[in-house]
Amino acid sequence: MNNILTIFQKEFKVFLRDRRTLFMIFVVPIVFYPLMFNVIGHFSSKNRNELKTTTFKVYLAPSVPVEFQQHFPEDAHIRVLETVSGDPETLLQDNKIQAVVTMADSLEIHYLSSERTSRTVAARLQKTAESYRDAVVTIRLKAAGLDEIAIRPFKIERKDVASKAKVSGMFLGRILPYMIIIMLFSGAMGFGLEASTGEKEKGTIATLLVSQASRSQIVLGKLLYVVAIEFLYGVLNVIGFVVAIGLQASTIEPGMAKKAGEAAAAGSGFAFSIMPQTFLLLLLLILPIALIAAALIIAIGSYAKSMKEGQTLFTPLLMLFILIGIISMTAPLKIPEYYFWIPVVNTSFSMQELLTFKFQFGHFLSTMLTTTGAAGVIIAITIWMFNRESIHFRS
Amino acid sequence: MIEAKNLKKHFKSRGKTVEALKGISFTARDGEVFGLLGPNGAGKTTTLRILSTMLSPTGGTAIVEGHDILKEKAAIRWEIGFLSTETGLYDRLTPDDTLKFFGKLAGMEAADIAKRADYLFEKLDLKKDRKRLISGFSTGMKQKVSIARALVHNPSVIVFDEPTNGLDVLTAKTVTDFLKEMRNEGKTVIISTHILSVVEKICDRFVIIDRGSIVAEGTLPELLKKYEAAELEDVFFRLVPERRDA
Repeated sequence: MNNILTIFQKEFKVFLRDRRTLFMIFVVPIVFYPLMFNVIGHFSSKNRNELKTTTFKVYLAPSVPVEFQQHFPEDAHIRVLETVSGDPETLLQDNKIQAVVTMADSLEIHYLSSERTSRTVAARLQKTAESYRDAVVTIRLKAAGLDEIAIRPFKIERKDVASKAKVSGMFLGRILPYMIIIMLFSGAMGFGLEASTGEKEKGTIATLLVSQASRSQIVLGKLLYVVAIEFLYGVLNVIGFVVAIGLQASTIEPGMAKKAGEAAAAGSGFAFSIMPQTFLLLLLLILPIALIAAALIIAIGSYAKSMKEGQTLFTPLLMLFILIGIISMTAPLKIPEYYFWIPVVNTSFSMQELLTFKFQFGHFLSTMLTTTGAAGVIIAITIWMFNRESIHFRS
Repeated sequence: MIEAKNLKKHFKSRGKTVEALKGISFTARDGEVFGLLGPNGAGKTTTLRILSTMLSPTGGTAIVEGHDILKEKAAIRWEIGFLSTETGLYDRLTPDDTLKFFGKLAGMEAADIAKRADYLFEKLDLKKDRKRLISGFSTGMKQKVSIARALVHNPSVIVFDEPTNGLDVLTAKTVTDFLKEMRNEGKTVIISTHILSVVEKICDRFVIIDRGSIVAEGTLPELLKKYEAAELEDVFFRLVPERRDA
């Protein structure tokens, strides 16, 4: 055990003296994410303001009643063209005009979904058309001596009764498992390769192999270090990401992020809604996959002759785990039970359950058992590989 | 003492079997510097890696300070101080950190490591640089730190692979003088080299290895007499090309 800790301490000391690595670990998440969301927020806000003040050109066919125009929203900024030089559909395709409205049996709004301006004006014209239709209905009802209530007996309203914590939980449940898996594996790649293949590149592996530390101790010491760094890297990135979203929510496109941001701002949001026991369970879930990532990278790093070869060998695995992360973001409505018996995949779904207040102990237990078991097997294989001399002296 | 008995080593490379060692035997005694002299690819490094338990032999065995390399690897690692051809140091550690790390792995107490570090840094003229990061060191200084690292646990057998390789004359002299001192302390010193003058200056006995086999063994005067040569170079060039032509 002493030798494992000695190797861990040495690795950590080397890590703390690398300014570039420290910059990447501590400064990038704190600076990069807020900057990224600031830039996104800035351009998103700028685009919305531009759309608010832009005047859209719309061609109304002669078949469209004149009354239609009276129902334009006040801030629609629509310039009606009653005559155009050329075919209106061609002008629309060329984005010279943003929409064409015709009326026969139905009122048709022709627009280009590939153009933002055309999409925006189409939405405004849709509202206009609905308002116009309602007005026509009202006139006809009156003419028939009927009240409007005859066809609209009640109003329909949607009220969201989800607590702010639940809204932010849903948001986090979707994005955090993905982020955590990606961060653990990408963090492992950078630091694990340095700790394994780096020994070969620096020529230090021979001195370590003839030291009094056994090869199992060397693997376990490095494993401990990589797991610690993965946690540090993962936690700092996730915190940076979540804080950046919370800070910039108001400037991002209205929707999920805004709701999550409001929840955070209200003090009951995602930043504060993770209870200590939830956090502890989350860490327990992360530990086996952190071990898997660390063991895999040390196995590959010990086999590789250079950092470049190590990166090449690990990249397909990284892609696989990114795919697993994506699966968790696009989960089916009802997650099949067997998903909770597939290592790593189950971690992602169990994290999701935990964050969305749907924690199930059975799922947690099967996740811990299978993923810890898988981690144990991969660590054993890594130690077995590290004990083979052909790994260290590959020609 | 080291006793190599019919050591063989085969490597598999791209489907082919390469015989790195074809059964070599020799004895390196306490209180002597024993040399493995040979051209590149002769099998010197493989021999030293087997003796230091980094590699396992395909055949034969060796006894190091009474321990069999096949059965008592852990015990042997306590007895030997190994220096590889590469300096093998961590750039972001200081010489002090390096000795602490390897001393702790050897199970030494902090006070003993400090005492040993004082002694070694004094001997190797590293005292004033002991707290500087190794990344700023010259090749010679790095080699001195490597030597201190290999000797931190005061081993009785010293296994140095090409210890003067790439060093300037002054540093090379410091290293060879230090090896002589180790010999005088009664330690078994075994080195590999392809530099003839190193053998002439410090080796009490040596073997010439070529293509995994020993082609000559003895002291310098013995070999000069046997091959009726004036210099070691004559002996070396007579033996090594003869085998290549065979």
